Amino acid sequence: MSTIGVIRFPGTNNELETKRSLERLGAQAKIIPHFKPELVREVAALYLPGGFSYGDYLRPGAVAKTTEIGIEIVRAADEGKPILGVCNGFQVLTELGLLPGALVKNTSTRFIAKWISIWIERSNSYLEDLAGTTLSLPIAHYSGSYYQTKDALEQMKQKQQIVARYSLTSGDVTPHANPNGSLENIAGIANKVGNVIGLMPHPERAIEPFHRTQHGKQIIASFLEAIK
Amino acid sequence: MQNTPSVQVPTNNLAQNEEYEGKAKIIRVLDEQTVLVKFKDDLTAFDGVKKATKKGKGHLNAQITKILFSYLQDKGIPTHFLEQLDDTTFRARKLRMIPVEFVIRNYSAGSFVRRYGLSKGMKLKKPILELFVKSDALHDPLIDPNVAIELGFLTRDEYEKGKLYSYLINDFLSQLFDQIGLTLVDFKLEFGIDQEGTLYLGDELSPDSMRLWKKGTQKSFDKDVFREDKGEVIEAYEYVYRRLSEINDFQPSPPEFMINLSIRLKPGIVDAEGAVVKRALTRLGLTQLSEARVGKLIDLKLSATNVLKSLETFAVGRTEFLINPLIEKSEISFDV
Repeated sequence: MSTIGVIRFPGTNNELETKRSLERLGAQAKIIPHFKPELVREVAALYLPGGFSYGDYLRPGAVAKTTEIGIEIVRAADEGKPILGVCNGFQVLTELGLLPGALVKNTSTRFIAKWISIWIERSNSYLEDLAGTTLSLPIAHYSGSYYQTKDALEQMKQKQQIVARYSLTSGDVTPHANPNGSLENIAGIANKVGNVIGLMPHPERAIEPFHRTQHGKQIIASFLEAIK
Repeated sequence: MQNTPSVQVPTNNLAQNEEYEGKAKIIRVLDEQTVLVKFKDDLTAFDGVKKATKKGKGHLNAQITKILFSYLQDKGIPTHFLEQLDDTTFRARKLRMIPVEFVIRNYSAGSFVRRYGLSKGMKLKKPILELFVKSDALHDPLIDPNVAIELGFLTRDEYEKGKLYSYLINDFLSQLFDQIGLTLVDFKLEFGIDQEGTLYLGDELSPDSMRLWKKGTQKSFDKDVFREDKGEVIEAYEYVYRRLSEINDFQPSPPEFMINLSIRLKPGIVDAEGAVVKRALTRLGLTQLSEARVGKLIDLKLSATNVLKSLETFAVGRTEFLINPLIEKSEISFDV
């Protein structure tokens, strides 16, 4: 089976559990440090894990766009390789311009680390097969509030780019279920083509038997399915 | 209150092939983008009250302007000069001129001495920038930059960039004139904007628009010779031209300048940090506080080896990296 590259910027700190979670589902994964951008071309898909790339300086994910590996990630996206960015990985993807919108500080003004539920939408992406399911996953972020202009959000809806929304365990998307002030409870989006997805919740932290749920497996399985 | 500026620059509304004759130059519109600038032999002073014609003066000022504009252009200061056509004429970019003159002073002289009751020839601690309304009818009054911006004579961005260019030009020219034993006492600049909105140095740079003293003295090599009847004005201009044309590829040491960028979240974007600061200040007793927002400041120090190139690269870096235009806005100011 083809290999998945797990991108590690200075300050990324989720790369080990991400690699292990991919391997748990039978995939081959290798960590690609930021100073080896050429390795991006050798892998079939990319997982951008969470953490604090470049110390979150300036804005979360901003510095990554000035790097060589940033250029390689954009190239991989253009080639149609499946890409999943989680948490800080999601922030990096928006800053790279691969995903629309921005992630700003939580309206609660606090760092939030807790289990939440997301409702998977019908979308144009590789998570389409999970549409209509509710998953329980952890979040852990300070800047996870999704922001977009009204017009651009309308366009995203028309292109079915909304992938997941924060919901109650019942799957109902209500203001009460919104942990961070995200626009319309958005927790995950895709690009127009559907090969690049950003998610604030962490699928790689809901895998092991000792995790509260193993719902992350479903997302990672769909991600792996996209590679074939 | 009227909103349109009462001061109009006559060359700004010329149609193709139309001509405007000023005190020292004739401007003719060649096409949408270019004009012809012809230097006259006429000399005027005191808002046109004192007049004379000196044969060869137009030629000398055209040549001196060309040398100085080429020198500045090489350092990345955009000027309107395009090419020389003959002894007294060059082709230049067509600009919408800003009706405000930028004056830099290194030593006290002229109206500065009269206005503040100073003695002439005092070295100023730092170069001083003054703005004047370009209007003979009003006798070119001094204007506060904020008033000039409020009245719509120029925008804040144009003022900031004009200020930056003025100080850098002062540094470059002072070093150049020092090479030929002259002190740049003060000078006047005029800026204009082309159709793309780029700011250019326009008009001329000659002994008509600056004061030059022999180093260590107050002996004039500029229009003061004519203003104050201190000798043969053409000889002074000839001296400046001859000495400038003898200089070969002088490389000044580049001055440094600062770009100060202030970044704010756009209105409507929730500012979590601001909300926490507001609550904290309220706890400290600032109960009237209705809103607090927290932004960022970025200070960059650059060497002016090629000013325009640096500014263009910075402009890209600003929108593509330093700010996220979706959620943030920024303001730039410069310091030299």
